[in-house]
Amino acid sequence: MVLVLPLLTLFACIKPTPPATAEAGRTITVVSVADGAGVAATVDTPERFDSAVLAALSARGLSPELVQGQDTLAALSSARESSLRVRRLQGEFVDAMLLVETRPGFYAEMNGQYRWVVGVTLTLSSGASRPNQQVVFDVPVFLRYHHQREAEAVDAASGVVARRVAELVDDWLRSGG
Amino acid sequence: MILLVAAALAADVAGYVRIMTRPDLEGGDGRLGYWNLYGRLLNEGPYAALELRQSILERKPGSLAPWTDVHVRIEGGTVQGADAQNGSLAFLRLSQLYAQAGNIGLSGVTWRMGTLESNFGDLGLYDMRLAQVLSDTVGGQARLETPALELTAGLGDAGFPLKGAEYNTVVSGGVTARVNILDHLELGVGGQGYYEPMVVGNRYAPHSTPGVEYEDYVRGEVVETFLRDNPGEMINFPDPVATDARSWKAVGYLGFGGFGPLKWNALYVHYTLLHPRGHVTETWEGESVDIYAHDLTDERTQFSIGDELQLSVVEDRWDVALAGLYGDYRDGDNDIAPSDDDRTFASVVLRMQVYLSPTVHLLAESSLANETSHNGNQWRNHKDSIFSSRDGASDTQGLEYGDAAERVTWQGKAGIVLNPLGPGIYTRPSLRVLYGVQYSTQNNAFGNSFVESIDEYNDFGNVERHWHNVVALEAEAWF
Repeated sequence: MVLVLPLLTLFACIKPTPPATAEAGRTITVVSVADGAGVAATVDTPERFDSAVLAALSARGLSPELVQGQDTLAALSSARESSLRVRRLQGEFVDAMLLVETRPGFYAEMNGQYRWVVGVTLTLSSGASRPNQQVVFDVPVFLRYHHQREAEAVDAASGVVARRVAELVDDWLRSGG
Repeated sequence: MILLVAAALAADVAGYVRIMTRPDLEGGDGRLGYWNLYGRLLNEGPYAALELRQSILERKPGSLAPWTDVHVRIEGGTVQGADAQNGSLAFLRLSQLYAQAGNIGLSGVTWRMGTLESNFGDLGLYDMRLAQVLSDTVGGQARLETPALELTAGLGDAGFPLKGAEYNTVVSGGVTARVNILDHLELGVGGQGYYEPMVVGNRYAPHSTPGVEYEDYVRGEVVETFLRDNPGEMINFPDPVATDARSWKAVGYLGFGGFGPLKWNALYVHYTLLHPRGHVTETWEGESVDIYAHDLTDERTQFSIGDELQLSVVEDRWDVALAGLYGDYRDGDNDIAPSDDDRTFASVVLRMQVYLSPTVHLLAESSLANETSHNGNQWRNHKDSIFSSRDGASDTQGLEYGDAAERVTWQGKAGIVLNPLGPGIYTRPSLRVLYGVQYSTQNNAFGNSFVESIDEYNDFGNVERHWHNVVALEAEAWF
């Protein structure tokens, strides 16, 4: 307890940096999908993952609108390249749009944990006339059990992905959105 | 090393590390107790594992095209400044090397050549994998994976892992099957068999020296006894008789969860007939004599069962992991000497983690364990306990050790954990400040350098200590 109390006091004093904020009521369309290795269909990302991404956007004053449904998934299943997907979606959503693409893949078992790698591409589009902003990265995640598969891997990556979404949107807002 | 760095730059790198300092003011080596039966926390040393994956043909989302990759793993239990080996590369090993390919010939089947492994999971609080096969085999393996079924079959050679420098081929084959029912129930069974053929003329192949009593073997007095019974007839010492050797292992798994606060419960079981040993060497008047021990070590069995459940008592606020382990090891050849091959052990470990914030957690763990020797005394309970004994009475010819056939150990651990990636008992990285305390019926039941002699000329004296305390600063990460 001698060590714990001063540490807790120290943590309580740390103030996080405030995020960039958008003009009030500005909406952003969010499309978030998962493509599993060897799986033909593109599927929606898990609910907790979506919630983390939407919360990162809401914290910046944006009004995110999550688009889901078979039509969107079918359109994205037939085109796996991010640029093609964005072009198809831009036809439907004229204002700001965030496309979150995840690619969970099993890596190996390590020291009793199942290591997965979730490849992520974030594409932020402000319309066809402006260049897209894009970041591509991998998130290694460790799952405890064999029955935890693609959905759980994407779910486990949600914290890191939400943070990267926040960074991307902060840059976008600071550069004039 | 240059090759390793070059490979790491080109490949997809994963790893596991743990490092700690546990200054021990009571003369221990920095570990709270002897082994993981009391929970892995504070009882394990440093460890580092680096795995490289080179994808030669990458798996593509939505594609059933062939893919292939190569995995290499280097690992070992030493880090500069954290243990006696001081990070020496001599204590790291190339533990895994395999190439695998998928969607070739059969869709959904992964072919693997090199080091093999198939297991049903891990008892995380103990860091033990009870239901594991093929981990000692180099060969070929096929794995069929569907959402509901996983089938693995492998075949190869386990000679080097089992026999080391005294290599002889040990044909090894194993199978596992796992069924998943709606993500709430999993069942798994598997087994592995070993066959070491008789090879006449090969001194490392299985043999038995006829007419050897177990007591003489365990005392290292086989030659002495023979010459006492047959004075001057060393030339007639029995020649070893070639034989073959067989052993096997059966494993099982039951997992269920996803109901209410129960995240998952995993029950693992294994039953093994250990592979017979090779030979021991006795020296008599400058001459080395090999005693072949197949018939003296072919009745050793190990039964283990372990269970671990994870509960989310309050979502993202309070998690609990509870585990139990029971083992019954029997040696049908040995009825006279205490040994790790002839004992019963049981333990329970409870860990709780409370999340003060997503990244700042409180951890508390407690364990209680009992170990019982089947062949008499195995532990010293006091600083002046006898060493060799017979039925608890001092006897320099006795095969028992100390004054207790039972060891009871309790441990308690608590501290603060920083988890940058958020809540979860198994979320890493973890940076931990922990305090641990142990009570054991055994005297000084932790790694130490105490002088145990009760000789009157012992200059250092003896210490009676059943409580042991450590404070730990440690980090653990998967990446």
